[in-house]
Amino acid sequence: MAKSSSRASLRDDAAWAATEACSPAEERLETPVLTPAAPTARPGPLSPDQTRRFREVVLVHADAAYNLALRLSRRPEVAEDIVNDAYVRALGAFSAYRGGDGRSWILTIVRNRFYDWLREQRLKATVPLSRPANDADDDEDWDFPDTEQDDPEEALAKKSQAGALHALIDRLPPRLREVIILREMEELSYREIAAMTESPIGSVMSRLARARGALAEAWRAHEAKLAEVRP
Amino acid sequence: MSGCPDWQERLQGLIDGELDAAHATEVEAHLAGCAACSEAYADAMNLRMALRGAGVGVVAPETLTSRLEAMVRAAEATAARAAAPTAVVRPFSGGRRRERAFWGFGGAGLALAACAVLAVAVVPEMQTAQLEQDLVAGHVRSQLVGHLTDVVTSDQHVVKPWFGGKLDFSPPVVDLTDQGFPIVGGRLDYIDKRTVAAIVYRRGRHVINLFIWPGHGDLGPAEAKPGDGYTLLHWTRGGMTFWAVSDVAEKDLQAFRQLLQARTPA
Repeated sequence: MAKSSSRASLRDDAAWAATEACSPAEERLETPVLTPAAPTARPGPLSPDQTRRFREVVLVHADAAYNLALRLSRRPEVAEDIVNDAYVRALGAFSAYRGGDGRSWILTIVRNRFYDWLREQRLKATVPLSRPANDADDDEDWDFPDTEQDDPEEALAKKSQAGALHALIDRLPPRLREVIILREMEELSYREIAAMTESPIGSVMSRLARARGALAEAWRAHEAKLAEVRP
Repeated sequence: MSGCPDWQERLQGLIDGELDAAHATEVEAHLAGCAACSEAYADAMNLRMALRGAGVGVVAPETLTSRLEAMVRAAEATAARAAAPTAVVRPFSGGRRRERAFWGFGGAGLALAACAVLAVAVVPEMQTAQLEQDLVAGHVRSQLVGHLTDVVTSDQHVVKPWFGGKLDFSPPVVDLTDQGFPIVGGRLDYIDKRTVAAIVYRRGRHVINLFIWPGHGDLGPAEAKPGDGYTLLHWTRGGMTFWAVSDVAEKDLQAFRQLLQARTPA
C-alpha cells in the first residue's frame, strides 16, 4: 500500500518533470497534480532544508545520470552538458518535489534532455525542403551518427570487455539503448521504465526482447571470437 | 533473437522477475522443451552478467561533479540567505539570532563563507556582504549551461533594446571590443530583491558579469575579494550602480572599470 502511494507521487513528479524539462513538442502524460508557482529553469527559492534534501535525493545520482546520458548521446562532452542542464532544471523544479524516487526523477529529466538534443541534431541534419517537418518528427529511430566509423569488428576486438559492451550498446537505436540501460544497469522495474519512457509496459517488454536479442547475439559472437584469438 | 516469437515477451518477464508464479511456471515449462528459447534465456543471463561487470557503468567525471557542486552551493547560499532575513531587517533584535543566521550560511556555502565574515560587524557591512554574495552567486549561476545570456550577441545595439521592455530603467551598454572585452550578451538577473541588468563580457576565457541597476547607495569599499578567486568592483555613474564580478586578474578588472567609466555618459 505504501509502495503504491509512493509510486503515485513518483508518477506525478515524473509527469511534471517531463512537462517542465521537455520542449513543447512533447505532450504531458497526464494532468499533474502539482502546479508549482512560476516554474523557471533557474534555481528557485528553496529552503535550506530543501537544498539539503536535493543533495540527498537527487545530487547523489549524478553517476547514474551521467551513465545514462553518455550511453544515450555517446559523446562525453554532450553527456556532461545534458546532465548539467538536467540538474539546473531539477534544482529549479525542486520546490515542487513531494517525495518519490529521486533517481527516477533525475533520469527522466536526463532522458528528456537527451531527446531534446537529439531533436535539435535531427533538425540540423534534415534538409528542410526534402521532407516535411512532421515526417522527421515521427522518425523515432533517427539517431545521431555514431562516432565510430571504422570497421566495427576490428575496433571491437581491441577493446576491453567494458569498451566492447559500450560499442555494442552504442550501435542500438536510441529506444533500445535506453531500455537496456534502464533495465540492466539501473535495474528499474518495467513499471518505472514505462512511466519514464511514456510507453505501455508491453512496448517496454518488446523493446527489451529486441535489444537483448541484438546484444546477446553480438556478445556471444564477440566472446567466441576472443576465445579464438586468445586461446 | 533466437527463440519462439510467441514467447518473446513472456521470456523477458521471466528474465526480469516480473511474472507472477503461474506465468513463471508456464514459461519455465516451455523453456524445458524448447532449445531455442532456453538458449535465448541463457544468452540474456550471460549478457546481464557482462553488463553488470566492472567498468561498464561509468561514473561522472570530475569536471561535471564540480559543476554540479557549484550549482548546489549557489542554491544553498541563496536558501541560507532567504532563511535568515530577520538578521538583516531587525539587526538589533538580539545578537544570538544574528549569530545563528551567520553560522547558518557559513556552513552552507563554504565558497562564500569568506564574505559572510564581513557580515558580523555592523549592519551596512552585512547588507553589503549579502549583496556581494548575491552577485557572486549570480556570476556562478550565469556560468551554468545556457544561463550566461538570454540574448546572445556581440552587438551593443542589440543588447540595449533587448532590455527595453524588460526593465524599468535603461542600462548603458558600452562596447569595449576594441579593448579586448567583447560583449557576449545580456540577461536579466535578480539581485538584492530587484531585477537588474547583467551584461556579459569576455576577457580571454574569463567571463565578466556587469550588473547594473539604478540608484547609488552606500556600498562600502569600492572593491572586495570575497574569496574563491572572484573580484568584485563597484562604482556609480549617471545615476546607476555598477558591479563587475569576475575571476579575471584584478588589474584587468580595474582596467575594465576605468574603460567603462570613461565611456559611460555621466
